Amino acid sequence: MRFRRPASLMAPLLLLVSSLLVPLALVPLVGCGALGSTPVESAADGTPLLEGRSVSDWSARLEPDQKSLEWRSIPWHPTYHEGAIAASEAGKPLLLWLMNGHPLGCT
Amino acid sequence: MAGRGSVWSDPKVKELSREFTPATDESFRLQTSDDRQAQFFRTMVHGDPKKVSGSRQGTYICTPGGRLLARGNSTDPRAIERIMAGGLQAWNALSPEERARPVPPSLLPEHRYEHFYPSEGLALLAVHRERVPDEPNSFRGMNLDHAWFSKEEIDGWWQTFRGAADEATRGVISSARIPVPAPLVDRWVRLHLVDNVRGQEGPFAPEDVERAEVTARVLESTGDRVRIAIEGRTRVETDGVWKMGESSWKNFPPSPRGVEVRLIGTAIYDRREARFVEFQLVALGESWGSGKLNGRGGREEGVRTPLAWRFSLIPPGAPDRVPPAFVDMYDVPWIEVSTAK
Repeated sequence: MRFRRPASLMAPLLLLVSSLLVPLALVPLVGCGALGSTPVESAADGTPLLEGRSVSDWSARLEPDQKSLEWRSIPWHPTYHEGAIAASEAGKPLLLWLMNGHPLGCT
Repeated sequence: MAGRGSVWSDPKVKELSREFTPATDESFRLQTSDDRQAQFFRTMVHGDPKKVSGSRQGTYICTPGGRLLARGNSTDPRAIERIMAGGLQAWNALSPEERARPVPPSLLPEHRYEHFYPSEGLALLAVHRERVPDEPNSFRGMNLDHAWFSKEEIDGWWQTFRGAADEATRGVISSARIPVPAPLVDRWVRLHLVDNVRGQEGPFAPEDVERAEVTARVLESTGDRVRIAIEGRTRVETDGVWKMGESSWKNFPPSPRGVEVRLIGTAIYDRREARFVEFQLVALGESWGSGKLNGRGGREEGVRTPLAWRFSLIPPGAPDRVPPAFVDMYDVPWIEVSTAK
């Protein structure tokens, strides 16, 4: 049988809870440098912010510069056998670059 | 990793690469796997299909038919240029018949993780970066990875916020934060929010997860499209003791390490296409400790490094099917684990 708190006790309890929550709600939900307990904040349209910036903003900032992606301008085939097949079709020797961890991924 | 910048960004090397068909691959599999392709590779390089220890990283020049012409490993572009020139000279000295020898069936793989690419699910490209100390909006270093989620996993996630999406269609936007299914969060926390910026680090075990709170919140629903916000906090820390059974990753040096992040994201799920058509997620956090193979070996105990990760959608039909670094640790029925690694 589920216990139900008497209604007469509910109102003061709700009052107490809401009185605690209101000041919390007024605390600006601003991210902090350290990983404290503050939740992420939101923009006016509800989209989340982190350290005051949107996902799109951070995403643009995290874009590597062209110089660090220069190696990707070589048209690498992503596997040994795909490269060999393409080399056979092109009549060229195969240039195979091997790393621990895929060079086009996490190496 | 250094070769990306020093060798393969070098103008002379890039120009010379036009004389070849360029390809890349993962070397550890080729030197340790039982796969037919790996045995073929070892026979080509060493004349023997048995597994080899040490490192076989480097640059190889060979015929499509499987004859080795030159090889070497260096971060000096001039050294690689000499290897390429030597290989090209050897190629030109071959008979037309030898150059035209077809790709043998034994060069074709029996098992590749690329075969399990989730075309109908969610595939993400991850960029790992390091925040510059005292310049929190600047970043340095860069590594890449990929994160995969199957169609069934995404269907399951969709079901968790479908009710809120239906409400939003009727104009009722709930502020409820709906937990993202635990297996998906677990994958992110243990296998993708890892400090790989300067080189590969090991994965985390389920026992290492101290915090894994990631939620979705419906922002709007218009027509078939449902826009959601993703928010979360995660913390993972290991004592360095390997806890995940037999795996090549267990050979990473056993050192305490951890990662703690806050993350946000936005995504658009299309009801009719039954998939995410937009997805971007950013995590900011810190790492400490090191397995010592990821360029953090010299970091003092207690020192934390600020990091950032960005995950973005790989569009359907894109050629990028490179598997996640820890794909063999996914432990899901839709990926057949190779016995090789």
